[in-house]
Amino acid sequence: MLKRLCLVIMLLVPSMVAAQDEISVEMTVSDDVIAIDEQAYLTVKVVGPQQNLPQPQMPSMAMFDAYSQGTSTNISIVNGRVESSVSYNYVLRPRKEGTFVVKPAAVVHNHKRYASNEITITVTASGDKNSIPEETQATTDKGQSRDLFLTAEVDKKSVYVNQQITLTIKFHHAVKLMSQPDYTPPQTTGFWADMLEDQKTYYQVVNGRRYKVIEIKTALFPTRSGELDVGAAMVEVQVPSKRKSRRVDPFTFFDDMFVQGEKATVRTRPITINVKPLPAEGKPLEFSGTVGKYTLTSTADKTTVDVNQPVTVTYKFSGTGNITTVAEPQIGELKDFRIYRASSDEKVSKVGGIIGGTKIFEEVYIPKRAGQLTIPPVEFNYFNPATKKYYTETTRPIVLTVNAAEEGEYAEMRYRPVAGRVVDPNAKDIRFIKTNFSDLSMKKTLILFRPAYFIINLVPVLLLAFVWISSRRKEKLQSDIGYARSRGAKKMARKRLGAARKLAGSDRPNEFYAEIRLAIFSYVADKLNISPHGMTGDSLLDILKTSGVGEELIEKAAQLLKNADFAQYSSAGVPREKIMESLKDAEDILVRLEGANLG
Amino acid sequence: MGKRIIISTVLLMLIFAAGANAADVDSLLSEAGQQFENKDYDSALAIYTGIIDLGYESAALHFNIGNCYFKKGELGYAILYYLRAKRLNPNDDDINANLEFARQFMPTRMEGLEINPVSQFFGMLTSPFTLEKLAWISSILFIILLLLVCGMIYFQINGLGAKLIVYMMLALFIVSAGLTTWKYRNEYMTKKGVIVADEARVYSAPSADGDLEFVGGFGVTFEVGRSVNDYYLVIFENKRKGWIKKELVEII
Repeated sequence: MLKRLCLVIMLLVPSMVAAQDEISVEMTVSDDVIAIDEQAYLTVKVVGPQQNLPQPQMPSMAMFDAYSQGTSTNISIVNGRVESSVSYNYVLRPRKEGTFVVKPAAVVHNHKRYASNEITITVTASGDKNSIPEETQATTDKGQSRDLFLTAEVDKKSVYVNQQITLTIKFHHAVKLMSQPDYTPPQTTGFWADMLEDQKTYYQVVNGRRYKVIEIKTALFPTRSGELDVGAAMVEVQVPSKRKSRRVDPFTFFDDMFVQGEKATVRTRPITINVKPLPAEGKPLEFSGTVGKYTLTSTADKTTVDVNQPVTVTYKFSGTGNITTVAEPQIGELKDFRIYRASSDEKVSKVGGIIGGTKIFEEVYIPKRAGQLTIPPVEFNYFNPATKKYYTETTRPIVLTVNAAEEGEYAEMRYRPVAGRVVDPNAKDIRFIKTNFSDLSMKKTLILFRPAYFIINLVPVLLLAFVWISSRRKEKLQSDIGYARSRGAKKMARKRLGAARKLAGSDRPNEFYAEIRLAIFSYVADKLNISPHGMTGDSLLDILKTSGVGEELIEKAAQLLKNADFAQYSSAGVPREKIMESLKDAEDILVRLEGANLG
Repeated sequence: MGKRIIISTVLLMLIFAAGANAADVDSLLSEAGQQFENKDYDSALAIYTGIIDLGYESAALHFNIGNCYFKKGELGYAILYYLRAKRLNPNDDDINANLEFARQFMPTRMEGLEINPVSQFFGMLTSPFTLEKLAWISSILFIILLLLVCGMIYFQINGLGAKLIVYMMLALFIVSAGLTTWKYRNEYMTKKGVIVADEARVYSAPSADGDLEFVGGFGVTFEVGRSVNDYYLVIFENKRKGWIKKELVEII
């Protein structure tokens, strides 16, 4: 039972771990219908159980100019389970009209590919999407309920594309709430929305009644021209029931303690915003769509460098407006420099309900040659809705004095270590060449594939095999008498034949033949682990027959035994030739019996 | 400068044509060192790479070639040769210092790196050793282990102390053999490369007509997958994949 339980757990745990390791990828767009001169905001959100989520591989978006707008990370812990999400934000500016499918973005994690949904974006001609009718006025609703109501108001009803609108949602309630209000924000399709500040709570008197107010402010940036709707916001909450019990109860005190709750829902009316396209008059050719009021500055971390030393130029955009839409400065190819994008940083401020902040791009310029080299100015265009004009900010050119590279002059170099690696921050130059080449040798085969290495490792294996076999044999000889006799049979027979050979030269044929008989009898008895005592010639021949020995060999053995009997019981002498022949026969018989494998 | 290169090249060709011996190589190394000190990095580089082409190998030699490339401003190649030197002698302080110094200039960093704690642990354990050293350590432990077992069998030793020693040797051998296998798999079975060009475009297909995935700068390392026409399929440390033109990279 326990084994089964363990087996079930072992089978379940990997699948549970795998399930927890799942990653999801979702792709959303701020508006699926935009005009050719507008932009859409694309967000790819990767959600998973770990902190270091893989970066998504973005699909080809050939019909759009795509600009990265940075990432935002969110980590939450629910029921002890960590879930993190990273949102990658992009601005898409269409290149031509039509309906385009943005293929799924994907991430690869643990050899698995996770793909997002695909989205379709329709790009229309400039200014022809003004199809939403005006339905409501941009005023607040009041008094859906005497006890609680929800209002929505905007600070502007007519704005330019990408100009900030502040939406204020207020939830008024004059009764005790029995649950946390469940707020559903309004649909803001066609807007880039950003919460301005944390919700505020205060008291306000409306129509002579004192209400507790929860206020939420959101900045909205329309991404296309036309009449755009800010949808209805909704709040659901449990409030005390108004129904009274019919039964008259003297203990009405307890009514308040066990009061019934009921669900109340309050909504705002949708608000229509008139979004004007940016004026064509005065629009710069390279206009990137940024709206607000900005300044641009550039600074270099040093102005005197050596050839191939990096100079970091920081481009800083500051001002008010949707700072996330500010694109990286466009720097063309420069023949005197290699240019690399180093990093970007964005700090969004929400002071006084106005979105703004700073965005910093660092570009690394590496001069290719010595001399007075100039990093040319960078231009940045934006539209200011307050003055209804386009402005161009231009940085100052940066003049660098570039010296030919000399040793030991790297002190000014910016130190940007790779994570996990250590460089001496005081290092000014590379370390000098080596003059000791003691490790110099002809290139060799990898050690694991060298025959010598293989043999060196094989020798102890063979030694172990030999020792093990010897040990087993020794053990068997000690514990198995039959085996020990069988293994020693040949040796013993040879010993006896040796004794017989010595007797062959003497005049004692009786003793010679006795040794011959004993050698053969003992050999067979040892091989079969039987007693040689009482064994006769006939019984020996029977044993050989039952052991499957060949007829010729049996006959030869019978003849030898007959000669031995004759010699033992005959008074006449045996010629020397006959004795030598018998010795040879005995040796031959023993050799062939060994080959016959009696045991 | 050009004259010196010609002289050095002719010198090299004469020596190599005659069949270089140890003394010749020593004199060439000394000549290359002299050229480096005279800031004639092209000549020094020509001699060092000529010695490599002869079939010689040395961490110091790769290190010096890396230094020549660094001084020439070709940092991609400098990083390549420092990495080759590091593979032969991972503990050398000079090699590690120059590699990290050159890496400071890398224009691109891999984002979204996933640190596998197991790989990191094995990497930490094996990084001070070359594959050769690890293989010999494993062999020695293996031989000692088998000799101990042979002794126990032959002399019929069955005590607890002897068994403990054998188990300890077995554990040490398993650890060292595992590390050797990991090192081999990680550094030799997996072909690795480095971007040597200033910029290398990584495409979604083995052609410049494929979508541009991203642009990598010199010094970025990767695993090399299959090859189609003039392109390698490469997998970067953050697991991003793409196709890169062969002429922009070198195999470490």
